[in-house]
Amino acid sequence: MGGWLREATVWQRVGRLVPLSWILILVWPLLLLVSRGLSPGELVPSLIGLASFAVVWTWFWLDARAGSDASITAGVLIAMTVLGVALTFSEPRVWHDGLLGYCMVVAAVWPNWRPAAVAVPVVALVIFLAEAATGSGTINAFGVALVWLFLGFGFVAVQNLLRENFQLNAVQMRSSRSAPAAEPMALSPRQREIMHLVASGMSDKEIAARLQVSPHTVRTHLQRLYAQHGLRNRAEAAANWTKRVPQNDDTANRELKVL
Amino acid sequence: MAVRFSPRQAEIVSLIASGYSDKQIAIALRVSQRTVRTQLERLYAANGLHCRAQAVHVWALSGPSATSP
Repeated sequence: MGGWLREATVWQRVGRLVPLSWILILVWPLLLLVSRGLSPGELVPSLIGLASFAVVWTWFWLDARAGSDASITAGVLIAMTVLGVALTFSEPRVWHDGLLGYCMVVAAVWPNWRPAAVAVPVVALVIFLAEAATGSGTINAFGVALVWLFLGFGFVAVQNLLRENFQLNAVQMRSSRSAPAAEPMALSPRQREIMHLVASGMSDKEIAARLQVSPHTVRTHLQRLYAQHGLRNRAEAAANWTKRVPQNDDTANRELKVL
Repeated sequence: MAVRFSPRQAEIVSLIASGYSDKQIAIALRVSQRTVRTQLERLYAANGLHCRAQAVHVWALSGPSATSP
C-alpha cells in the first residue's frame, strides 16, 4: 500500500461517504421487491433480506470500531453459507440474490486481505454450484457468481477502509489528547521503584521477590498508577515513565549492576 | 545501550508505547497478529530484551535515531 493510502484526510473523506452507501444498500432489497411486482408472496422474503442487510451492516460498523475476531467471523460465514444454500434450494428465485449475497458481505468482514482472497472466491463457487443445481442454467449461474465475486471484494475494500478510518481517528484523538501530557509524571517513591524495575524488563513476580512483597501488592501498585495517569497497560506505563520522568543514569547503572 | 530497531520494529514499538494491543497494531499495519509478535521476538533476540515494557523503555530512551534503515 502506497503512502497516500495512509493519508488521514483521504480516509476521512471516504468515511463520510459510508453512511450514503449504507442507505443505498438498505434500499436495494426494496428495489428488488418493487421490480418483482410487490406480490404478497415476495414480501416476507424481501423484508427478511432487508433485515439481514441491516444486521450485517451494523455488525460491519461495530466490527470496524472494536476490531474483529477471526474465529467469530469464520463461524458466522460458515453458518450463513449453509443457511444460504439451504434457502436457495427451497426458494431459489428470491434467495439466491439475497442471503448468498450476505455471505459475501460476511466474507468481507474477515480481518485481513489474505483470508478474504480465499473466502470470497469460495463463496462465489458455492453460489455457482447452487445456482447451477437449482436449474437457472450454467451461464446464468456463472454470471451471478461473478457479480457477487466483484461485490465481495468491493465489500472487503469498504471494510478495510472503515477499519483504517477508525484506527486513524483513534490515533489522532490519542495524539491530541496525550500531547499536553509531556509534563513530568508525579510518582510516589514506591511507584518510582516499581516502574524502574518494570522498565528493566522484570515480571511482577521478579519485582515482588526483589522488593520482598507479594506479586499481588506489585500489581495493586501498578493498577493504581495506571488509574492515576490514564494508562492502559505496563508497556504504555513504561513508555510514559521513560519519557516523562527524568532518567538518572547513575541510579540506572547502579540498578543494572545489582541486577 | 546500542539498540537497533528496524523501521517496522520501531513502528510497532511506538504503537505499543501508545498503549495499543497486538490486535489493534495488526489491524493498523494490515498484518497478522502473528507477524507483530514475530517482529517483537526478533527485536528481543537481537537486543537481549525480555518483554515489551523493556522494549518500549529502551525505545523511548534511544529515540527515533536508533532506527536502522
